[in-house]
Amino acid sequence: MDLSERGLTAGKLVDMKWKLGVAVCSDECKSLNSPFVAMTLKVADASGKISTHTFELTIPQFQNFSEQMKDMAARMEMI
Amino acid sequence: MATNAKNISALLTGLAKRNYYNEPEFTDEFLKSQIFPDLSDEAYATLLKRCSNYMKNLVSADMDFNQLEAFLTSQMKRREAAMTEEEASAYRKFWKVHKNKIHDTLVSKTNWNNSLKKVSWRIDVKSQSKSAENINEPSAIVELQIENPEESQKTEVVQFEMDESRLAHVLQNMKDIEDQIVQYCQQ
Repeated sequence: MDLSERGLTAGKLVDMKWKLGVAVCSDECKSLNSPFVAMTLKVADASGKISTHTFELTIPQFQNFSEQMKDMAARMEMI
Repeated sequence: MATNAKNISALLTGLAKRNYYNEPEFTDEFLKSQIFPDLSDEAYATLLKRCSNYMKNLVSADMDFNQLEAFLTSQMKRREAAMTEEEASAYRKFWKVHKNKIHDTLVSKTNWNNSLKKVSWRIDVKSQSKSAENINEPSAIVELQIENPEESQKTEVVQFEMDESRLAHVLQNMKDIEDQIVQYCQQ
């Protein structure tokens, strides 16, 4: 079932934190040189209980996420 | 049995598959049986060690093609066990094909944190409510599928709702991140 078909009680996004880092090197690669975006989201459910969710994105993954948010905002404006 | 560019290339590809592309079926024994069936075990072991070490050098430094040429040239000038032109040609070919792929694999292998598997969203509009001010107020519903790399069966699903002002705040965060990426990263 995709999101449009499911009735759900979604929580509310109450906080978003981020950091931009670079993975410098690893045991297999002295020259990893790989930037990443780490994010932490706090979501409050209907009762006010807060859950925390973190994840890490490569730059292309972040850009895709960012594009989706922008698309969403553009659609909202049309309403 | 002579080593030439072709069989060295095949060995390098097999080693890459096992070491980097998560294809463990390409064992040393399998590779020997496929590529160097007539080579003595001792000679094969020496060759294997040589190729593995060279590959590790290339991968560890993520050599660009200038660095590769300099490296190959220096290896060909060695007094003992110098690299042959055939070998060099095999490494050039191998690196051209696999450099970026191996690097990307190593990058994703070193994210031990959760990754974002999927983003879905929809927009809801509240059409009726007790107090008239809420009519036609859109809200964005987002669903994130967050995957733990070590336990890929356990996907966490997070759903949340944002009104226009919360979404604007999120977009501002996105923009701040993008600005920092431009400033600090050569992309």
